[in-house]
Amino acid sequence: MRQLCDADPLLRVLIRPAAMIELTEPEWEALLPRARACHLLARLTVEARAGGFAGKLPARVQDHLAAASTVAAHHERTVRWEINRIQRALQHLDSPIMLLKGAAYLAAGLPAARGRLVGDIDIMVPRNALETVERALESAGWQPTTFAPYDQRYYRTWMHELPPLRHRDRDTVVDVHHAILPPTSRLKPDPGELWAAARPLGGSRLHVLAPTDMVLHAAAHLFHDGDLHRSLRDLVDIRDLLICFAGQSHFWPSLVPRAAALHLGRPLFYALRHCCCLLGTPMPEVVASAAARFAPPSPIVRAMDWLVPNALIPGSSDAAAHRNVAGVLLYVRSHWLRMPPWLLVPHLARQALLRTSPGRD
Amino acid sequence: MNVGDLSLGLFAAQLAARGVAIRWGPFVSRIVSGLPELAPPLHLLYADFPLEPPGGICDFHVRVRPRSRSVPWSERRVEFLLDHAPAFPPFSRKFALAVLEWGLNWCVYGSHRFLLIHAAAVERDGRALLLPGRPGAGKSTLCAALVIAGWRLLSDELALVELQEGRVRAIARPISLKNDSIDIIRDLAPDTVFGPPAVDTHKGTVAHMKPPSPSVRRAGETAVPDCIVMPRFVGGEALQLDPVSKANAFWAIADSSLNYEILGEAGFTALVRLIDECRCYALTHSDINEAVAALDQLSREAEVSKERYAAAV
Amino acid sequence: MTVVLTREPPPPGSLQLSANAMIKGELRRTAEVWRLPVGVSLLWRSWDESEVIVFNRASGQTHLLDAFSAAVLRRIEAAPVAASDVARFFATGFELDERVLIDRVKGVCARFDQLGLAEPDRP
Repeated sequence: MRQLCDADPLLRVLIRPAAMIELTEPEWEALLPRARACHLLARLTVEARAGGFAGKLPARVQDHLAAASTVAAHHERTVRWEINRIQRALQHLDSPIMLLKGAAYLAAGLPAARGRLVGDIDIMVPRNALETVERALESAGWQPTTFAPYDQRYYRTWMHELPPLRHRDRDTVVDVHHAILPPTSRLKPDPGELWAAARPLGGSRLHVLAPTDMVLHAAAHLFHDGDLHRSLRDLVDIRDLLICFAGQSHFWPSLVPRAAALHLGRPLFYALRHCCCLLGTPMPEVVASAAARFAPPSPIVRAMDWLVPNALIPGSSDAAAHRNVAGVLLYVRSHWLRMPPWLLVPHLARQALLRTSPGRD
Repeated sequence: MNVGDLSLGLFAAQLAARGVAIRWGPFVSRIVSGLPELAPPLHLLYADFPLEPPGGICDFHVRVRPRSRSVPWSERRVEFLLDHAPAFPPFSRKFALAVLEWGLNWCVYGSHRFLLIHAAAVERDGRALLLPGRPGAGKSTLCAALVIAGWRLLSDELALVELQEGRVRAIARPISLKNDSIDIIRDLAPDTVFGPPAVDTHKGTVAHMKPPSPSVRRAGETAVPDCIVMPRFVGGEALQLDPVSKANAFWAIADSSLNYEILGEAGFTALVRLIDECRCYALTHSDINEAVAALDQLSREAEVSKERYAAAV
Repeated sequence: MTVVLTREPPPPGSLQLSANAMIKGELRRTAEVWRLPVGVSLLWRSWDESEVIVFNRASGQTHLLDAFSAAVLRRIEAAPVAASDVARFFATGFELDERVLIDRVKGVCARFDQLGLAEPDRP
């Protein structure tokens, strides 16, 4: 697989932040919108400040970095407050609450949280607590985001079971799951296993996934659940998690066996492969080899080697037709992985119909 | 070198090829467009604006390009791209200039070293008058009239208040006027230069008034905030200029701000300082000349007004 | 865009509804102690006494309070305090009927709970 990291300035500065000082002004001009498009500009700001060279960058670049940092600080404040409010709303319930993804990185103080933009808050609760959690959130001001019966069925029956809940005053969204992948997906990591290994945060009922599970969830989210469009940020998250947990003695030896136990080997294979090739992430050779047994047939590996960088990384011109093709293919793939075929065709057809009918906002 | 120093032909050629890098206020945008109808009005309205020398960094890459080529000209649409991605849905090609102007305003929305307020801003004697209000509140008309009366144009649509120093920055781009306002301003000053109007937009007829050359030349000069006046046009009403409580002014500005909540505590602190420094009024008017006269008076009596204001609220 | 500005008090009638929503039976104790939520710190600004701006650093939200609501919040910010004590303080100071004030204080506190400005203290 070709090594993109040296050719692409965006990958170069993600792998080695100090390379920002070496960028010419034309390179910066091309880089800023690309980094912004995949939500990594604030991350570059964090790295520049941490490295002590932010003040040495061109003045206009500093302005853009500072603006991105302001937005990221706003997101961080919003997420922390939402976690506070969710705890307040659920404090009378016995149920434990698992924070997932960005909210988890932030609450656990992980490096992956730095400069991160967070959209919805994702939480996981035991399946038998879903109803009481939904009622408690609704009485604290959250409301289902969708009322159309078809969409309610889509969420409740086929996807993560509750439609996203939007708070009526703050307009923020919490997504309540009982599993980390939809029930119709071919991959079914057992929530019980995840809960058994979960780590509590402080003295609260909040939990986060165990380190290996966090990596596997991020990998599943990126390579199984999503369409990868401009999701370079998600790959950077995985890289950050790997580097952060590499220092724990049990992490590398248990990663592949855990992937097998949770049926998440294939996403792990892709995550390690692309972290290595695109972001130069160090990892023990034995782990990469062990993960290779989860690889698909080699034509598919090669196809993904082409599709993934083209979808993940925003281009520098608006004429990248091959990126559009990659995007479409991966969108279809993500739905194929999420739903059985007999559900998929009616669903996509309906979505297409909704997009073309007049009067729909 | 300014835009007007290039011949129209050369300007149009550059606009269609690599684009033209124009500095406006604190920003530099590279504008690219192959639409032949855009070059003449841009060359006219931006004649006094400096061209950025090659090699620097542009804050915004913008492009206005056709969206659909295979339909009759009248149904064709254009889209505005910021950094290669569409910023908003496409509009009819007849509105290409308006689309570019709306798009350039859009570019400013992420500039979080400023408190951004939906407000017109003008300056006299180093002191800024802010006219906040949602689009359609009549602030642009009042802004244009004040500029014709001799005030320096800072901005017609978006006021920029520095977070650190608290001063108001200038953008001094063309003033966007709608419907009756266009005629009002033409009547006020018949030699006002306008770009071609866009008829039947979702806002009615839109036309752009060329900013006065001195305003553009002095766009690097900041102003100290002095007065906040919330305008309201009510046909047939007598002129009323009433002090408003600072708490209400704070609320109105926060509500009119594009990024108050994103800024967090820095936004709160900046807005408190702005309100501390300003006399705050509500203006109801039905006659533009009366309104301008009242605001002139307010500005001239700056020191006396401050005491009178402090006593009133 | 997130809604972060709230103007207090909200329209008539809604105070009681919000109080009922949050105070589900078990909480209707006049000895209930109110405090700032953990992590919350406030910035205040007013230019006259009738309207007060308060900024919650934790939530990033800004609120415009009337004089009474602001005074109640100031008491809570100073130290955890029972709603009944707040009512007694104001009743004594302004020669008002404590029984009327207690309901109003509880309503204001319930609204603060919704906004994240105050919450009941749980042992």
